[in-house]
Amino acid sequence: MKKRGNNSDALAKASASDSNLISNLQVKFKDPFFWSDWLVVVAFAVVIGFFGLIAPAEFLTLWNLNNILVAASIPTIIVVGQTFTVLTAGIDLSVSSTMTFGAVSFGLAFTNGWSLWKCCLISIVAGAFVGLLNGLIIAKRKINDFIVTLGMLSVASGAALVLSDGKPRQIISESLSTLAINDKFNIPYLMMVAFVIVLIGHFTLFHTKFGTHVLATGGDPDAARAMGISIVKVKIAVYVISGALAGVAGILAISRIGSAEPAANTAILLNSVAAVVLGGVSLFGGRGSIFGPFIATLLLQSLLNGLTVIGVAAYYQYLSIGLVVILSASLVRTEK
Amino acid sequence: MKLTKSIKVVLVAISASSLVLAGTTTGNAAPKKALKSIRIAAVVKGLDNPFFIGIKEGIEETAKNYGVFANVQAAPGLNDDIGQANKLDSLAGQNYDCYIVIPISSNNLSQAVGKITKKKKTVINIDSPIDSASLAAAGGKVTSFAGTDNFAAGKAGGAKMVAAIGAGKKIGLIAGLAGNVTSNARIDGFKAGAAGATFVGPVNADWDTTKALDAANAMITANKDLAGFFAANDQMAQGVGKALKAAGLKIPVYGVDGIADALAEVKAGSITATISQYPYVMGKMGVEACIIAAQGGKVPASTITPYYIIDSSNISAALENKSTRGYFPNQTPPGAYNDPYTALIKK
Amino acid sequence: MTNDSFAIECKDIKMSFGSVEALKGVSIYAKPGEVTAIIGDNGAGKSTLIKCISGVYKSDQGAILINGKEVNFTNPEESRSFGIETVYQTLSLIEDLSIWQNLFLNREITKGFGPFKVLNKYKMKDEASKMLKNLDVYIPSIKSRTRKLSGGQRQAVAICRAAGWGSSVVIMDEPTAALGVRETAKVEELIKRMKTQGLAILLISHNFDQVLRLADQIWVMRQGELMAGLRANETSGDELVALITGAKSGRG
Repeated sequence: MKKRGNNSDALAKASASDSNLISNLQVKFKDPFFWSDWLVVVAFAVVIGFFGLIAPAEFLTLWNLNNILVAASIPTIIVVGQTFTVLTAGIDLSVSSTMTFGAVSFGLAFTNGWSLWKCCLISIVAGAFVGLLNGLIIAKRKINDFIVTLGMLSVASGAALVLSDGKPRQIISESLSTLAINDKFNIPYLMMVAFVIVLIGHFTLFHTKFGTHVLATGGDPDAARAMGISIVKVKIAVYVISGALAGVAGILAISRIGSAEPAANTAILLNSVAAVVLGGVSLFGGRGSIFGPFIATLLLQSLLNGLTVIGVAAYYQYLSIGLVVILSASLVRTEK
Repeated sequence: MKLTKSIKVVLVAISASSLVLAGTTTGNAAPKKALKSIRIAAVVKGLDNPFFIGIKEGIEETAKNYGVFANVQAAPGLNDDIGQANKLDSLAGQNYDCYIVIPISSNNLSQAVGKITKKKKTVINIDSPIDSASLAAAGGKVTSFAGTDNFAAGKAGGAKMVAAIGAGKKIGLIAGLAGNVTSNARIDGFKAGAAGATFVGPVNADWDTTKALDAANAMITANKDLAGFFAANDQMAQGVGKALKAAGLKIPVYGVDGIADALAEVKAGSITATISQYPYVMGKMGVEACIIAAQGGKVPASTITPYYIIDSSNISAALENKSTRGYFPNQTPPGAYNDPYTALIKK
Repeated sequence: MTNDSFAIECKDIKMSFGSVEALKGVSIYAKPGEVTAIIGDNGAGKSTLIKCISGVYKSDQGAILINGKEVNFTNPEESRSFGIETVYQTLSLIEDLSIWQNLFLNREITKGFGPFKVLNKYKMKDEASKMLKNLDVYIPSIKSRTRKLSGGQRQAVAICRAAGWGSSVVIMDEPTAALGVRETAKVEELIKRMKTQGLAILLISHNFDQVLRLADQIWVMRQGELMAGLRANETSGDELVALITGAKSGRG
């Protein structure tokens, strides 16, 4: 009898803590902000699981996973920069052109015999310069960022064409090829570079004063200003970051493509915005993370890769990507 | 007894050496494969241009006819050079015997081709050539190239236009994506063929109809004495046609490619002529080259695919629709053409 | 009354916007440890005066003294450096940041040196808890986002922030205007507790009952002029109304 009593006590305690756990989980699941943080992880797992189940021999090979990581490297770098601008309730529509402008600057320096490091620096500085222009016009002249960066998209693109005279420059460099093709412990070098940038971005956002000020500027610019934060400086800074990272992406693009191409790649821009939204960053600013958009980028590239591998016709691929983005955006209710 | 033994030895020696010889005349080390086990992957530019749909059709129908498997993928967009490289990488990791590639730029697929070559698989390059220097640097090898001699096509167009409008006239030039090799070849060819003419441009319109419309409008406004237009592809020629119609100008405009919409416009008169290419034939040749390689045969290193100038004089023949899926007409040229691959396929 | 017993004193402040005279020579003072209310109808100039004190505006004429010493400032940052903190009607809290992040907004504690300064989150959370505890404000978790707090809780956090950083004057503009009865009572308790910290509290309020409950000193303004300065225990609601509307004039 005693034993049974003890058992029922224990059971009662266990079920009490269970129901606590369940009600805790229920509260969490009902909170839309929980989903905006975790949805991308769940979605990513679903995509990998889906392709892994229907085509494990093709999709889950080391070679293929390696391909996904390589494909995700350049978009990841762009998306980190885009996250910073969107967190201030802005957006940078000029990223793809800035990337091209950086690449073309690299190409010009390279064919003039500059050292590889100087060429890399030129690309980053060129990108940062475009970002600075964006930031100054947006923050000081108080013109809408959508419009300014849209205009800069054309300006940077045109500048790239002028600098390159419309012709691509072939860049044949041993170091760059090694960067693009090789890997260590099965992680491609390109992804290592991208991941380091993700870590730096995360650290800056959540462990520095500047990062807090970025979140404050996006969350409530009036409140931030009232507390003495210089909205102007923060806004200029995030666009410089976005531009500089576009310059870095330009270097990686050259390593992958083997030449400095003067034509801008608009897919990069669209995917960066999609990944930012999918990754739980609010387009109204003030809320988000760096890892969310990073995982969202991996998700998008896995989706593209998976669909190619199982032989889905290209038309359906456009459709699928669009559906995934819209579905996720509607599930993530980040209202203000 | 001794004689039969020595005859046997000789026979064995002959068959052994013929087997060895057969092996050494192949272009690559791939073992012979039965038709039904051959798997082909193709990456074209973008399916928003009917030209590449034509290539896709050519590949898929030819594959069906021979009983081989083909997976045709396209870049996400006509200017997504990185995305196309990603696609080819994805396919390179899969179990295909042969890859048919059309690169967006002359360099963007070199690394991916390098990876494929390392796996000892065959790569066939059609339509737009891959740059040999970057290919070599990436350790890649292309077994065969089949494409139009764009320079010659442009040249024929140039000569024909000068014959139509007379010497010493002004011609507007609309080019494709900046720096694109195909576009440059066509424009340069046209200029070479149009001896004595003066030119406005070339202005880049990125293969896009609307951009070409805008560019043509600007040219018409700035040059009242324009006597003709040449656009490096049909979609751009359509844009030019619209601009001319709006301006009420009746001067000839030539395009390149021979897509269905352009043919309809040639019949209607809004485009004067198109230097038609035969993407269907290119796709067909790509598949055939793959099959030859998979069967261990020797693939011709490069083939020129046909072009024909289609204008009002031969438009009806061109409009005959021979597509099994009713997709679009003008799959094969109205005259004879050289397909060196067909004969080399072992049944 | 010696001048350096005043936490803040404004002498003859004049401010005009174009041809409109918003302040026509206003002189007030506030003592430390006291609640000093400024009341008046719309357009009386209360907000303008407060903005001159908090550095949003620079008055055309007149002087401001903190603890007997004349000070000059041209922006809110400088005003803050003299220990003047403001709790705005909109509270200036960032909803998606946590309570401790808001308490330390633009005053973050860092560790490390040079370009490698890292946020000292542990210290900030610790100090934040203390700031709230000082004024007996109870919030279950300082790590929760400010968005999750009720109106009264947010008001309390904003007040704790001002009290925690302010060393001379805390200005409060209609602190309970948007709150219900219970939350208003709680905030009023909080304001009373602030007096024990030795701060001078400048309170703008339309609620005369509240003013009479909380204030020690009351300044009445009307159309840019100071009508009267009274001790709260020497006046009544009726008299205040009369002074505001002009039915009664002069120093009561």
